[in-house]
Amino acid sequence: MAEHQSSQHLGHGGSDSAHGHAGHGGLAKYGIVFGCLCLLTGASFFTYSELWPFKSTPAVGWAFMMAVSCTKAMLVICFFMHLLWEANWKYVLTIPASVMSIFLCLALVGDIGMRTRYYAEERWLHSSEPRRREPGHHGANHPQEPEHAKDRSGQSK
Amino acid sequence: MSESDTHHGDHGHGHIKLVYQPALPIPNGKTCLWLFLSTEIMFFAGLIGTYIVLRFGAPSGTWPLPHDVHLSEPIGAFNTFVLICSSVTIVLALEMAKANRTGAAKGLLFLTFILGGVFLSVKAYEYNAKFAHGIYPSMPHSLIYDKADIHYVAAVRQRLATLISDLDKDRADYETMPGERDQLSAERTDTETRQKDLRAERSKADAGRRKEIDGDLETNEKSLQRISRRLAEIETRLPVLKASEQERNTRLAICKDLQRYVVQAAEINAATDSDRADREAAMELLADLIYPIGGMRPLAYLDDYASKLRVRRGDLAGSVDSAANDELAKAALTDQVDRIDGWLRLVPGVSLTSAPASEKPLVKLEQGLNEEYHWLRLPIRIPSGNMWASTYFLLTGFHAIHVVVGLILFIVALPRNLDSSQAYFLENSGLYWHFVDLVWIFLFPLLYLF
Repeated sequence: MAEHQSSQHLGHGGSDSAHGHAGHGGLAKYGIVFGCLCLLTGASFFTYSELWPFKSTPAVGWAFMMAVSCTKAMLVICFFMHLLWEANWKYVLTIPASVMSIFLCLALVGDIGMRTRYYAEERWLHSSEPRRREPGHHGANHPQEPEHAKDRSGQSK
Repeated sequence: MSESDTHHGDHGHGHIKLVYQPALPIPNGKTCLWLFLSTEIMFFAGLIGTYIVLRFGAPSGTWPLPHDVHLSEPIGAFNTFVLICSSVTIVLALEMAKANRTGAAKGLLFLTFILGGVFLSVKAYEYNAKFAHGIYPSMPHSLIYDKADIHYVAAVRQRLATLISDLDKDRADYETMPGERDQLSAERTDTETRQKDLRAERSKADAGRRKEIDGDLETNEKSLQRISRRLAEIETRLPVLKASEQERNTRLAICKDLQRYVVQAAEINAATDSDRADREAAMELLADLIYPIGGMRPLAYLDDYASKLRVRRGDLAGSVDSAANDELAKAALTDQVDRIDGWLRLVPGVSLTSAPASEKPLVKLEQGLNEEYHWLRLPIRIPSGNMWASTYFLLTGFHAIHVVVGLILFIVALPRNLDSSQAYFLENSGLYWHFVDLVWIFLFPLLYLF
């Protein structure tokens, strides 16, 4: 990640504009980054294929895809956006913004993410899925129901 | 502030040389762009975060799967690839510009522009596919209902009623229009003769009478215009109605069948079944027939349902025979038998072996009615579909707007001589473009793969 390598590049700050530095870039480096990006896209696509071993726990796939996305984002930021070679000002602009955006999302969790925990009885009547019925309420004489309910609750993808 | 700046007030003669010390060791334009990008990070993080929180906050199984809403992973992956390629080409264009290779820089920039255009075209194609299935961010265009409840069934009946009345009106028009045309033609001939007579009379009449005749002439002229307009309307409409006659009759039959045997059956079950699960199942079955949701196709239960109906039909038929004396009860039972027959004819279940081979089922189980008959556009049931559509169109819409802005920046840059003096422009628009790519890097798995 950029943080580890940037300490070696601190000297590029100061009055000398970092993008004037001719050492970074280069076709080969961009080619490697491009290859990595394509590979990573394939990797996140792979979770959707039949070969992905964690089909039963979709959370593993989601976490993997997010990790892949973050890696791709870091590659783009560090190499294509040249932040790897920029001076320390990059932290001033990127870290507060990132922290703010994380807080922003966390702030939503209580009201939006956990919204269904406090649904009133009436609210469930109008929610997307019918309230989960007690087992046995739909017995063997209603063959359409159990199939349906099982599919919905047990689905992963 | 610099030393000289603080002294400025003391002297005030204006000949003090101000020394500008940049706050950041980069050009002002780049500083501004990075400031802008940091606000953009928060903007998109807010949008994407809201999507994540909404998606995972939805009760288990109520968020639509990519296939439920006609999202195709390969198309999304292709668009990701296109954007990654464009990021490479723009960064190479910058390198070329720095090296004063203006031709190569221009070519690469143009390639980036094309790739951006490809991305937008694919996006437009995807939006079109959504719209074709009635997936819009809001009513009245959106056909999405969150739940197969009584409102949903009512909406389906309403849509079918509208279709039937429109088709009926067309059919009535087709039947009455030839007669109306003949009548109007005769009327026109009459009026024209009268006009001729009036003109002849006018040339001989005195001033008072002439004024009267002028009024009549004007009235006649107006009715002639009205007749011509209506005749022209009939002439254009009649061939269209004639050409679509067969199609119209087929559609009308389908709509009426669906209304009686599928929608009304669901309504009757929803209203009369004693068991709540049965009532809800009847409405969900209707929703499944119209727009099956991936991964929960009700194939197996439809077979069971059909065999249940056949048993019930046998019982009812027996009752009809035994109720020979009571005409009212017999009529009611016969109606029930007819409804079951109709249902079994339209939806014979998965294993068609038990259905008469001569009867073609109306409902193709794999696709659903809306896919089979595009013109139906019946309301569809997608759990959390409206919330999904709102977030999807908002996220991808804002991203697409950013792509458009990026393309405009490229158009501005293209006519310039892209040497090292212009590198700053390429660098800044490139930074912006990479950010657009970054956003898509997160949107792709979230929207297409989660």
